[in-house]
Amino acid sequence: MLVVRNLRSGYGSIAVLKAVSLHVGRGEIVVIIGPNGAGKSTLLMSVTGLVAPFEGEVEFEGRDITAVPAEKRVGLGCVLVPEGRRVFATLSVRENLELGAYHVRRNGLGREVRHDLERIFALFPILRKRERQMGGTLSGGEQQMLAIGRALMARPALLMMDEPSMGLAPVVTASIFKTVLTLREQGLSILLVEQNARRALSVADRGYVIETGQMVLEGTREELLNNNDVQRAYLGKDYSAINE
Amino acid sequence: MIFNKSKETMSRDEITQVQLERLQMTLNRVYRNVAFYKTSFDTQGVGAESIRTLEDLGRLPFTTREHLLSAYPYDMFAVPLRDIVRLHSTSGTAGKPVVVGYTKNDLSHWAECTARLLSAAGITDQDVVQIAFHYDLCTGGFGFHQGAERIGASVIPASATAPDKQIMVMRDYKTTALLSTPSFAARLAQELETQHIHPEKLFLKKGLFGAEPWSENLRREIEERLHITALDNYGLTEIMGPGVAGECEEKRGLHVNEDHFIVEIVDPATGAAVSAGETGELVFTTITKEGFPLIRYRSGDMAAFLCDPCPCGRTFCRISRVSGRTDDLIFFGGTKLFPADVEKILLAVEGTAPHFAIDLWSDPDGSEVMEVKVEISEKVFAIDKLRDLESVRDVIRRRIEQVLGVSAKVLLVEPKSLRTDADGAKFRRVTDRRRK
Repeated sequence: MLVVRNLRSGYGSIAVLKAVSLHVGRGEIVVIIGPNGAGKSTLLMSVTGLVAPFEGEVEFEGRDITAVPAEKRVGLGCVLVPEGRRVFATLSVRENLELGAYHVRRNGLGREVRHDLERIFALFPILRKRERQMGGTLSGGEQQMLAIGRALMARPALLMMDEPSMGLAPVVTASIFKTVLTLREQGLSILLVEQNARRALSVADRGYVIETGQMVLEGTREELLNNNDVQRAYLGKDYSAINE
Repeated sequence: MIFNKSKETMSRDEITQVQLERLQMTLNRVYRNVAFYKTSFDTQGVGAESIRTLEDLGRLPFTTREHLLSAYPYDMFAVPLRDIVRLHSTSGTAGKPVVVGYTKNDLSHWAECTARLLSAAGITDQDVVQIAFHYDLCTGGFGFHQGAERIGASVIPASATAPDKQIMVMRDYKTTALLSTPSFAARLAQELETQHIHPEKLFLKKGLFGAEPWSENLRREIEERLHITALDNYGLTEIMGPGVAGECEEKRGLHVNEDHFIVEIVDPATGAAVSAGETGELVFTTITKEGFPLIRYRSGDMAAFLCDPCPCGRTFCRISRVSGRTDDLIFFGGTKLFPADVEKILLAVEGTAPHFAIDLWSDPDGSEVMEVKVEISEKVFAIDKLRDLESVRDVIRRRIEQVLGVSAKVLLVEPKSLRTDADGAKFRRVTDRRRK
């Protein structure tokens, strides 16, 4: 599905990622955990093409997309739900969703957009209620649903999510992660970046730990939960015991 | 049966990607956590970031046995001791052993790796598995034990007890699979004959043998005498223990668990990769180990890559059965020792560097014998008291047993009798006439 090799990426002359490699298999939920500033968002931005990498390769469905511009990658099915939701505040919920289908329409499948909309409303019934409301008036949780819905309108094969739990109440976060599992059942591959490691690992099949721009650990959910470094640094386990 | 089909039948592209990712992560971890590797990479001017392909691995320096010995006991560990849940060590050295630590995940991977080997040998949850490896600091017993349990087999931790007891267990507990060293299997075959027990009276069908190099001849002999299929497996404590590589029922070489280890084969003299199909020294890099990761460890074992695809469906690369050593390591009674270790002991006993030779042979009852011939010094010879000589011999024997963990016969010989320089023949330190 997604294969990344030796990605070196960053901003200006500063490299944030130093030779990062990872992969996401078909139908897999893969989570990347790591501290603030480790390069998690830069990694997603580089995979979507929003940041141009200095070096390295990105393969999507067997095709080298390193040189493919961001807007074309969306058309290929490689879609990002950005950090902080970024819904269009002055557009209605429906307009936000329809914008997500921009490529679907351009590919002459405009007639199917209506059907896709129905799917999103089935997944997030609250969005149907708010159909005509401005995006900016939604609650944080609703905005997150809208951002996911907008991404799904692009008919992704790989859905990337950057900190979907950010700023959300625990109960809302739980429902967002439940949606992640539902989407995987529908055949999507998901690459998830999260600071809420415990929550993210609870839905993940596999994960990577990134620290200061370098991958340091990879493993199944169980392996990462079993790793003492992960427990100490990201799950807060035995915090007091370790300081003794 | 393939134990973990999604892993063991990955395409070459998938294997390469997984190996590259895990190699890069291992390098990042050892650079951060193991002083030896930080120094070694820094002085060589190679960094984890410069390793972009699996071929780049060849630019990194080797890790040798000497490096590990000088890191005794914990300097090569990549995690704090509180994260270690098991310790094993190498056997049979007169100096310090190599101490190896395992985290929870390391133990889980180890069980997976040995479970794959057992599955590849046709062992299932229906089998009764008798493990006749030592259950101690050595890795043999515990390593296979976890894998056999993971498969769900009925596991008998027989350990390396006396042959007659093994036979009793084997017959009465209805053992279907035997795990041991090949020499011990031969010893058991002899014991069966001594006790006049026909192999068909047993339930034994399969044997997995390893921990020492053995020949196709010995394989045929074990198979005929025990009426079983005998398969080879390979592992070494420094890298993990058993579970590194093993034969499938095709008997066409040993599949390496490539999602946990990267194997290279190099010319022992130059360290350069040998060309395809040529025999050289096996060099291992661990790519999932958390506690005791090693980069390019020189095993001292000689083998070759087998490149044609295996009909069993496993896609992991295969190595030939180990054909020899780059050094004079002796495999004896389930442990390993160097002649230099014997020399160290003799030095301590005699107070002088005595000349010695080691003879190895198989007794008619199938057991292996090691005899250490030691020249007594002129001084001692002059005393010429039988009782003194006997006590010297006993001290040597006891020291060898205590330090190296092997029981050897000791024979004292006249001064200068071991040297054959005069007739021009090259002095042979070790004469091995065991069946192999």
